Formats: sequence, structure tokens, C-alpha cells
Amino acid sequence: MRYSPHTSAPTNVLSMGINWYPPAGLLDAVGGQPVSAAGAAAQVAAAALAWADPRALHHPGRRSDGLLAAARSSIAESVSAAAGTTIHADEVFFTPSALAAQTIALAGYPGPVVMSAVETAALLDLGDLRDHSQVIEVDAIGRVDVGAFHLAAAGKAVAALQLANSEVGTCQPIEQVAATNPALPILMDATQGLGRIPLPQGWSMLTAGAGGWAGPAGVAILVVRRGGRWVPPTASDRGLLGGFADIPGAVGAATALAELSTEQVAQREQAFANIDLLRTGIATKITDIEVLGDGVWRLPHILTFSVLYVSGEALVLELDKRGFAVASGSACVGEEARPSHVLAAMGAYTGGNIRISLPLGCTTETVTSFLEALPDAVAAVRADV
Amino acid sequence: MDTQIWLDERGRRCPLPIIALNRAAMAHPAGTVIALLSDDPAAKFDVPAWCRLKNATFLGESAAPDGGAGLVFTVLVTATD
Repeated sequence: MRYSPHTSAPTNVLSMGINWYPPAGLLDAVGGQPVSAAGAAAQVAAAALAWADPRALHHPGRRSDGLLAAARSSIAESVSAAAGTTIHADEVFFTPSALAAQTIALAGYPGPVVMSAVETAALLDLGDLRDHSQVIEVDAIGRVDVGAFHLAAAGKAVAALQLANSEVGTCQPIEQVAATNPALPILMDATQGLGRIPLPQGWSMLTAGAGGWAGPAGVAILVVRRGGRWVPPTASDRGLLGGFADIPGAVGAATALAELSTEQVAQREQAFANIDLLRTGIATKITDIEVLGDGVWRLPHILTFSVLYVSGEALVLELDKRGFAVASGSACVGEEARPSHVLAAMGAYTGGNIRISLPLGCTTETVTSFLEALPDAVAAVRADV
Repeated sequence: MDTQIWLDERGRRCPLPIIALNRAAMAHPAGTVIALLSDDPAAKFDVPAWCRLKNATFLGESAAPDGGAGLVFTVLVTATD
């Protein structure tokens, strides 16, 4: 992928810290973003130290064990700060992916699952495997109804409700669902939200991929609050679950999250303002579009919109030619030739769909140059109607 | 309901069926009923969404008349938007 140099000035990245250097034009952070400088440095340093089995009794083993314990403590501190409550190091587990974390989390609560229709496709599939599981529909902005969730919660072993949707940004009413279902353990998918926004109260289990906070993509965390009936389905030796053995990756992930915690407010405010700029700018510059998701109670860095009479695939490729990397939930872009289940659940227009997700450190220059380039890109691929 | 316009868009993928629907809606007065036959998996979502965005009325979907692939989406043109 080629990136044009039109947004090379890193001035406001520098003013916000020196940890994030996203390529100019990268607007698909959900699809991946560079590991932060601090996270990458810590991962490389740990790779030279923490290569032994942390269960081994010898010196190298004890060194691995020490770094793994430090990574757990650091994640616990960062999640505590985000949640406004104390999370203990022994409540933190590392897995190779958010899906692995979710699989293990649900396995600790056998029985039917109640979940929103806009959970990740993989999580919906996991729920589907259990008899009497139930999917709760969402409204036009992608939010689940608290009353409907409550009615469906009876007889369920566990709930799955995301912190916010990674495709459209809409936050879910975790605290309200928890308040109306006090006995129901909630698995909260916090991917893309952890590190970006404060966490609500009321969840029992949290999962998140480190890529969301500019940590290594092959690391995810599972946090299980004490006091629940969760039974670890596999030996949880030293916080390693699902075969995970990448201690340097865990150190990198913990460092990236800790660094971000100190800059979170500045990052959040800048991303929120940049997406506001896009939400209003796109609606005035392009005719026949639908801007999706909640504009207010949302993730700071995500915006999705659909452009009528345009192929999503053609628009993604046209924007790529112009130096912008974006994602799409349109049917023509997915492998299964079906539109995104999130867009479908919202009753949104699914054609010509574009998802913008700002990487950490994304500048206002990148956003404004995208806004300037978009009308021409749309005109280049829009059929004469 | 006055005129019935029949559009066979089978084998054509997004955004072509919606472009055909829009062209037909622009070319005919309010009260026209358009029946769009499409086997595009996106049409199930995009025809009702297009109606909502363009102030047309989505009347429903039904099986293809020949029992073949695709669905018939029926739309009432309510305004020449």
C-alpha cells in the first residue's frame, strides 16, 4: 500500500507524546495499527530476557516468571484506572487473541448465552453453539434495548455485551443491563474501547485485543472479576490461558497500555473532535449518504457511513490509490459476499460502506486531507444516476 | 397503485440493482409500483434502507415468480426525490 506524503507533519503527534507514529492516511486502526514506540521497545527488551518457561525453577525460568507477573500487575493497574475500581493482578490472563479470551470466558459459564446482535461474528457463533441462547436486536444506531435484554436474560447462564461496537462506534448500556440483571455475569468485549474510554461498572469478564491500544496484535487479555462462579476451563497457571506463551508480547502489551493511560484524555479528546469533524463534513460534502451509529455516546475514533450508488470495494480501492487506508462492511468487500451483520442488524444501507477508525496519534491534518479527497474519490467511482 | 414497473436485476451486484431502482423511481410518478427481482445478497437490506432514505415505501419481498434464485422486492414511489 502506498501512502502519499500529504500529512507528514507530525507536529501534534509530538505535542501529544512520542509514542504513536501512524502512517499518514491510515484510517483503519481496527484493521491494525503500528505498535507504539514504548510497547515495541519493551517487547524487544523482554524478548532478550523472557524466553524460558516461566514454570521452570532455574534462573531463566524465574526471570520469565518475574516479567510475566509484572505484565499482569501493569495490566491490572491500567484496567483499574480505566474502570475506577481495583482489579487485581490475579484477575488478569493473557491469551493469543480476543476470540481465544472470549472462548475461555464463556467456557467458564456453561449454559445458554444472551447477547446483542452486534457482537463480533465469532462471538455470535460461539453463543449459537449452545442450546437456548438468544440474540437481542439493536435499534437504528446499533444499541441494544435494556428492557428486551432483561426479558431475555431469564434462564441464561451468561450475557455477552460489548463495551462499544467496533464497526459503528456505538456504546452499549452495560451499566443499565448490569443493574437490571444483578445475578447475570456479563462478558464485555472491550476491544477498541479499552485504553480509549473509561470502563463502565457491572461487568464480570472483560476481553480485549492489544492491537486496539497499539500493543502487539498477537496478544489479548481476559479479566475475570473475583466473586463470580466462573470456573477456569483450562489450567490457568500464572495467568497463561489458551496455550499462550508470548511473555515478551505480554510485556509489550502492558507497556503500551500503561503509556496510553497517561495520554488517554488527550488522545480521546482529539480523536472525538476529529470524528466530529468527519461526521459533519462528510454529510455536507457528499450527497446521498447515510452516516451511521451514535454521534454522541460512541467510541472516540470510529465513524461509519454508506455512500449510495457506489460499490464499497471500488471506493476502498479508489481511496487507497489516493493514499487512504479504510475498511468497508459492504457485501462486495467481505469474503462471504454478505454485508456486515452489524449494518444488517441496524437496518442500515450496506452498499458503498466505509469505516474510518483513527489510529492513536492520528493528526487533524490526516482527517482534513481525507475530507478534501473524499468527494473526488466518490465522483470517480459513482455511477451516473 | 398505478403502474407496475418490472426490473430483472438478477446476476448484478451492489450497487447496480439499487441504481436501477433509483433510475426507475426517478423516471416514474408517485404512485408507481416497482418490482425489483434481485439475487444480490445485499438487496434484502439495501432496498428497504434505500426506501427509508429516499422517502419511498417498501411494500415487501416475495419469492421469485419462476421459483428460481432471488427475491422480488416491491416498492411504492411516493415522491420524485
